[in-house]
Amino acid sequence: MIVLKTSDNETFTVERDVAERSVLIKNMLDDIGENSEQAIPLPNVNSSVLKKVLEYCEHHRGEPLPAADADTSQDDTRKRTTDISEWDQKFITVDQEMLFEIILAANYLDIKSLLDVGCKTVANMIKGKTPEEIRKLFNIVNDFTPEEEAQIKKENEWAEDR
Amino acid sequence: MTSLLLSLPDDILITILVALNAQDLISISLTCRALYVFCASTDYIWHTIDIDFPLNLSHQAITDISSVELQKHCVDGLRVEYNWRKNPPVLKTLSRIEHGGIVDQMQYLEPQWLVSMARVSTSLGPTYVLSIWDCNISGDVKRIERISLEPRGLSKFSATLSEDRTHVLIVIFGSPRAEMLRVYYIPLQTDYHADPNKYITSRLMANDIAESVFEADICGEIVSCLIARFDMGQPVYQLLFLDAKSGRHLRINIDVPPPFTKLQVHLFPDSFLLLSGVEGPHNLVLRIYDTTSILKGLKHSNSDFSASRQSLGNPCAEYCSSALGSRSQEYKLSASHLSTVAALIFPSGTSNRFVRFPVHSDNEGVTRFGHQSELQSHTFHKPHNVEMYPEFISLGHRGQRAVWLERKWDEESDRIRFNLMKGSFPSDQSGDVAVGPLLREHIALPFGVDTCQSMVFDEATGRIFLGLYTGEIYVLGF
Repeated sequence: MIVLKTSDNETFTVERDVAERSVLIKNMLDDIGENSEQAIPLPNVNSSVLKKVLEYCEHHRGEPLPAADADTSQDDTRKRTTDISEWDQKFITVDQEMLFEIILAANYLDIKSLLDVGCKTVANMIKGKTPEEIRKLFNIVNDFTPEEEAQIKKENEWAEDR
Repeated sequence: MTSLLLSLPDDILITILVALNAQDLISISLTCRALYVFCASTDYIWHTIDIDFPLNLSHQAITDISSVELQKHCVDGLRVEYNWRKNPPVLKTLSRIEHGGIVDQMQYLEPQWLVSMARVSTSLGPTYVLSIWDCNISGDVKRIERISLEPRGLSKFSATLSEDRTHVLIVIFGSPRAEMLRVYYIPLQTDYHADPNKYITSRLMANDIAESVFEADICGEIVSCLIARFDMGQPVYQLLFLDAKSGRHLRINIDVPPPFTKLQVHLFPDSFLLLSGVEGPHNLVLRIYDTTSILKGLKHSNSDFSASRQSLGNPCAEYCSSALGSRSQEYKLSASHLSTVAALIFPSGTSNRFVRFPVHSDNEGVTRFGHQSELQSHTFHKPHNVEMYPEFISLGHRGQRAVWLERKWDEESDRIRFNLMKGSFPSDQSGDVAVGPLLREHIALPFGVDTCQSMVFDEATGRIFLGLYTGEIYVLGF
């Protein structure tokens, strides 16, 4: 069993193979050796996020980890559409703040598959929306001047009657 | 409150953006300055995203184009795509070119060249005129070359651009006469017109056996053509390769038994040869051969006609698409690149068919052929009483869009009606076939569609060139 300590000083005790879904934790464990009782500090992750992340790791334990030099050939790039498995989809149905926290945690902890699920989910939220709808969704402030906006809209409009 | 999306580190933001398609990437780049600049300045995003509609890029690879340029190309491509998907699409431009004669055959060479062949009557009987037109999307169509062809037997052509795209190579061929075929090498960017005979790089005279070239394809400097000879009433087929520069050629017997009809041949830049035909009443068969060693032999041999005893060998891939219940079939291949081989099949039954054949090229340019089971086949409705002609089926270079002319016998009025049709075809299994009329009903056109003699389609810009019996070409822009 491994002990993880979050930024808000909570500790989580998990089985080693669950924690090792995170390449960061795996490398740390490899460095400090087998028999350390020490808690691993994760200063960039708070407890509510780590709870979610561990839920993901628990579900996917035992699955093969992607190779470090994951091959991204042309075919893979094309197939990397935005399909997400059913369980993952349910898992990632969270509010936007949590979604971005999970993405940042997955990035920091180096859990590639979770980072992927998070990024695809954000991409799916963007799909088919107009610029105005995207601004609303992500709280983006339109900082173009009206003249600039008219100009770039004109240059980039493909559906005159949309 | 600041935007969580905008506060993500760049590498995560890129991972999100490359999962979008071109439409969505444009939309998100229009939300604010930061994203506009980020998308425009990160070529990797534009080089990686999914672009599932044709772009008018001529021969450039996507990775050679900056994100700013690529975005412009995408907007142009999306404008055509959006219009093309409407039923019917809006006819945006219509222009007329005075050609002369009867416009029998045309071929479009991306990005902007149209080659045409017209039959002109003279006091000595009909003669053929070959023309090259500059169809740059941003200007008027201009004729840049006009060549009168003698002798008269040469009535069909196949054209290609030279590797440096400064010349067009045209092979002309036809019925059995003294001359079997001839290759022209014509400069594209010049105001100087030389004696057309100077443009002839090689010609092939017929030997004493009665035979004819009925299909030819030119790729790079190699002409591949199909020759038929009748032996005791049965056709015997041969493939002939000609090096247009050196004039060297060799023949290969091909084993296609008599029920094989409507043979076509296509040669690809990487020496792969595609032989297709209708086998029996039901099957469209495609065979792909690696002809590297044959073409090497052609370069180094000083052979004459009969010197070679080589065979085509076994195909490296063979696909078969069966359309049950059909008697005769017309089909058109999209075969400008080996990676996008597709076929549009019009059987005599009640459903048409679009098939994409699994040929993959990986990043290193190595070609892999798929299995028969990977064949993507889509059927779509065929109206009753419709007849199709191969010269009026035009499938785009990428096999993503097509135009065709239906000749329909209308039972009520007991008259024949001509309908121009258009279709969009998916690049993978998940997409849909969308087929519908090209023009709205009762549209007033300055010509009768029934006077059409030939038709070509520039898939990337959505332009259709109709060659008429009256010596005009009409260009329909969508």
